[in-house]
Amino acid sequence: MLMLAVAAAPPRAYDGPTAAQPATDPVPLASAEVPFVVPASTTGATPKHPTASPPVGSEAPSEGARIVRVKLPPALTEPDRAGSVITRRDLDERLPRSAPDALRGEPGVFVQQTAHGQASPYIRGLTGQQTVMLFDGVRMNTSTFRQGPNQYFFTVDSRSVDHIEVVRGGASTRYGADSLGGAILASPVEPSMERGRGPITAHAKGIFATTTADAQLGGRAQLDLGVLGRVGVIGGFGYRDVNQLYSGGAVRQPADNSLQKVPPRFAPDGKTQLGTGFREFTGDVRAVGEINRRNRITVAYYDYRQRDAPRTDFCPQSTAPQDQCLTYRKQFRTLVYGKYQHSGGPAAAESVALTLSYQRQHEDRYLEVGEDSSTRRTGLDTVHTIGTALTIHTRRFAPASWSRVGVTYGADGYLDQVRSDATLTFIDTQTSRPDISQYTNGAKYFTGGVWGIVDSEFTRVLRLRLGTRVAAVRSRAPYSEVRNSPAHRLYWLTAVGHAGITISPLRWLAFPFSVDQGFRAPNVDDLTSRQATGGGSQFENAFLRPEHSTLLEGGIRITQPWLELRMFGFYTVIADHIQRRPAERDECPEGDLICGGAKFTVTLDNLESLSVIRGIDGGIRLYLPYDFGAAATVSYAWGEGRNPRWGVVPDEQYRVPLSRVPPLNGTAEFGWRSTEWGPYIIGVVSWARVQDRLNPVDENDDRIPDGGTPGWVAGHIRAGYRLEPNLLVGMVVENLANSAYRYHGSSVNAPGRGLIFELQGSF
Amino acid sequence: MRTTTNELARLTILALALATPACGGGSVGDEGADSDSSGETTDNPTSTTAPTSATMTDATTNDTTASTTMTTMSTDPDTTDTDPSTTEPGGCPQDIDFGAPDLAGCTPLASDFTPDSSAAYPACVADGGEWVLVDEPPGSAARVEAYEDMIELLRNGATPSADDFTTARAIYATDNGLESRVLRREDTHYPPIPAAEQDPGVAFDRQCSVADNATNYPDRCVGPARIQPIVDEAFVAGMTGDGDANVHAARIDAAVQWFLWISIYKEAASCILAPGDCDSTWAYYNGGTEQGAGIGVSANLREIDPAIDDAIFNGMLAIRCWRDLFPADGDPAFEDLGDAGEAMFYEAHEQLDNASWYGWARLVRAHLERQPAVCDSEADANWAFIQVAGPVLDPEAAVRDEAAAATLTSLWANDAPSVDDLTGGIAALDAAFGCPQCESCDVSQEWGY
Repeated sequence: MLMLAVAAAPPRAYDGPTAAQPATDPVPLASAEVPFVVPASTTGATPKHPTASPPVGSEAPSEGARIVRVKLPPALTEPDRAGSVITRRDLDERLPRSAPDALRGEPGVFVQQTAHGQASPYIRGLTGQQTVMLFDGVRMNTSTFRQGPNQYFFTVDSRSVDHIEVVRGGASTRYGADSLGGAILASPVEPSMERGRGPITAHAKGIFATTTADAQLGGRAQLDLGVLGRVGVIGGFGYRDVNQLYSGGAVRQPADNSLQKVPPRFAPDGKTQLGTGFREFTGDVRAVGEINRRNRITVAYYDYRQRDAPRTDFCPQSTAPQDQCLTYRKQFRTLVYGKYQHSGGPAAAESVALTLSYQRQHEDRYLEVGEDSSTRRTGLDTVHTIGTALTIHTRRFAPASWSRVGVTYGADGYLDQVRSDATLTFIDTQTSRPDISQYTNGAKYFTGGVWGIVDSEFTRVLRLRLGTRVAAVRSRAPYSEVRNSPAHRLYWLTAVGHAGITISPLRWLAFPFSVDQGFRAPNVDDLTSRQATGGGSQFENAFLRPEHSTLLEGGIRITQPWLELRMFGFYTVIADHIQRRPAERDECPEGDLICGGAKFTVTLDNLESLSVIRGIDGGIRLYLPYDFGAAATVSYAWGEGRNPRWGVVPDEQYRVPLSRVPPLNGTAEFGWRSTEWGPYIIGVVSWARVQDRLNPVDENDDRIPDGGTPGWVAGHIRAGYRLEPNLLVGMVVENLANSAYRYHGSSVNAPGRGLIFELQGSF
Repeated sequence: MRTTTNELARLTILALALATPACGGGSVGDEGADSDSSGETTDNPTSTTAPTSATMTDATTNDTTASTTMTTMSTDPDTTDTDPSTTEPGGCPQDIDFGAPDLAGCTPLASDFTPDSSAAYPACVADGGEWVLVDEPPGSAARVEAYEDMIELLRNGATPSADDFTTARAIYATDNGLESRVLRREDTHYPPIPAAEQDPGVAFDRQCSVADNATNYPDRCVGPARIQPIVDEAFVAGMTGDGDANVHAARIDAAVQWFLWISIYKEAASCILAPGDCDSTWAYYNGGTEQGAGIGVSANLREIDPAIDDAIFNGMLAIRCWRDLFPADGDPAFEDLGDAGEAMFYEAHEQLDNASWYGWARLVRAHLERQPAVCDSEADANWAFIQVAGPVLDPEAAVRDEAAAATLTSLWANDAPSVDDLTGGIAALDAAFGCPQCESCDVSQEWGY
């Protein structure tokens, strides 16, 4: 645990939605993998040259510093890029229902929910396979991440997370394939390993949480052990039972102001959303051992098990009997990894982090067509991923007194093996037969590359970054007789680059600019999957090309004791953009009647001309007297691409909005956090404008009301009391006006008026 | 290839029907025959209109009287068959000519649409005699293909195996396939579910997917309440090898065709509010193919008489013409059509409806005609088909000709009809459904939605 040493000036109490501490100086691009101590600072900013910091594990406070039991927000991994950090403290105040829920309100992020137990963060208008997610540096993205929203970040237990960083905009140079929209970096809670406090230290923590909107009841038990200050083990397990979600009711459709039909389907009260609720079990153990002051080994295990989570837009599907429901009986993710960290090495490799990981992502879907039908469908998909990542920091060289140069470089590789089976069962005869699986069983996928980033500074005014990655991707899948899908064996090799310049005319003022190339090769989902999508059916395209993006980003950063501002404008161009296009029924795979009979059919295709996403995002935070504070964020993305139907369907426009790009949205909050006594109370308003810029595919998507998703404003109050470090009582009164609203593209409406309550006790 | 194969299958069925295989007895006129052989699978779920348990008979004896009656009932001078095996009294098969329907008096009404001349319709997109899509190609075409695939497995001339039933059911149960629509199909000939009992959270044309509605309004909710139980029961029996597989296959065939046929009328009605449903009307009928080359119900009717197929298609073109002349805006409502639009819709819809009734009546008639010509399991299957398809006509027959309706209802309930019964039934059909047009058949005030 980073129990930070802070100098005389205590950290500011108000710590709003732009929680990332703006760095006035660069840090290594991979600093998340290199622990360091933040020295005394009056601004809480990150250290000037952290890679030249004490060795790994050294947490001794500097002379004159005093220990405070408040952690500073972690620094941005890439301070000159647009980004933000959600700290453990933020999480304890926001009391999110899930890890994606914790990201709501972050600049540039918009969280879509297809189901109560699923959520997918959009970053700058892109989501799913076009963003990358890492957990403690281990890539979570698998080759089955699909186009559009997916549920996989939900499989991160927000209670086991110390902080989550969002990197907005393309970041493929550092994080590899998929990072067109951005990256989400989750960092777990570390064992405290309190040196000098006895041979064995132990801390226990219990969390009890409940909500009224979905009658949730659950909690987590956690134990943190330290031995001789060199070995630390932290482990915990959690459970929660989440019931059907109460909402403000059905939303009104902009097209005619009528109430939207399914999804979701409501109970007779018109508020309770059927097809919601789930159960969840989480467990984790993390052991850290310091062999000596230069070598550290971490072994970690994280298990997430979600059961009986209905997919709201399929409970029922709009075309199906009202008692139909598709349920994720199991949504499991298991992550095991070991990490070796070395510091104090030679100049070319002063610090090294090597990770070996295994991840198993498993889901078991069960479709019950309805009481009048004896048809049941089961789908089992498992992805086994073995991976490795090597990150090396050179010493920070000083070729001249006014310059510093450091290099971060590394390599990574992840190999997936996909198991996919499906069964059709008739329960009246207990007859089962193989069904068309979602993916081609036995598909294998590799993604990896080598990369390097040079980070240099020339006086205090100018900083430059330059980097590149050479990436390789391979996908193989056998012929499937059941699916009648062809075998494929595909290879791609590509190179992308990154450049950045930051000009700081004043110590408190900086203008960062970046150019970043991103790429994403088609994955197993693109190349082999057949799946339902918003009432329609999607089939594979094994002839896709990789998509490439180029990001131009510029912003302003102001860091004053009373004001923090980070605002960025961006312009992303995507070539060969992979998007859904309406498909003719005679394009359906031969013999696939699901495809032919769907309400509409889509397939993925590379758009023939460039797609563009542009917008602004950022946040401002004001530190006011007497522990008052205010903060606001705003996010806007505008996407447009070639209309795949142009030239096929009469009267179609050549360019159309990209699918499901979020509307203009933001948050504003004003509150008081007592630094002296512990209580806090914050009023929060979140809002979004109507999104009526729809792609032709969106217009067929049941998740989007006719005419688009209506705009909304919702008010919340967060209040609580902290008695560090033993007690936290937190609560959120959500949706004060009981508004009926939903995040664009969601199947499930936002919770109605209700209370979220959490009690944390520890010793 | 699919069409060719299906045509072959269809020809095979026809050839079997016309062939003269050696057999142990006829299924016609065997009132005294053992009735156990067909098991439980022929229970008639359409009991509200024909409340009988139609146990098929396995002929073990010949009925001379019936055979004699057959001869005397023949009115066609060409009924004398040169094949002695088919003229044997009470033999099986028997080549009985029930006479062809007389269409000489059937001419389009003044209000009817025909591609070449339609006084009641201004120029429109349907004048070319081809279907022009209102919207995107409808998914209903794939359901007709699925029907054809099922029939290829179940009615290809050979007795289907349990595996064939399982495979066919997998096709039937395809996601977004036939079953998904059967489970919500409404018969819009019946009054809508009262507004107070409709689920406000469910779309107007999916109210029958609400379980309570299907239970409380089985006539309106014909799919879940009537068709699906037949299909399920037949599949279960077929998959478990219980009873006569050909009978089960025939009942599935009849039930699925019933669904496809009733969808023609339903989709035409919902086309008012959902313009793309006009395309579904067309595609449920012929699989979204060119006129004259249809599959599904269209092909089956065309095989009986191309004039039937053409008459129904013209009814569809009438709907298409109306939609062209009164195009829908973003949120169409019936009231938006105005008097002229409403009147034209009624006329077009009625033209289609009358042609469709006629087509279904001719389908049933063809099976009635076939009954004496088939034996054993095939005869049982043919009668099973009739006992599912026949009662579909009852409500409309009752409106048109009460006496004929009574005759027909009685016939469907007859587990072992004689040739006299068949002849009477055919005469009743011809009386009630004499033409694809019907001057006096008004649209019910409670039609549609």
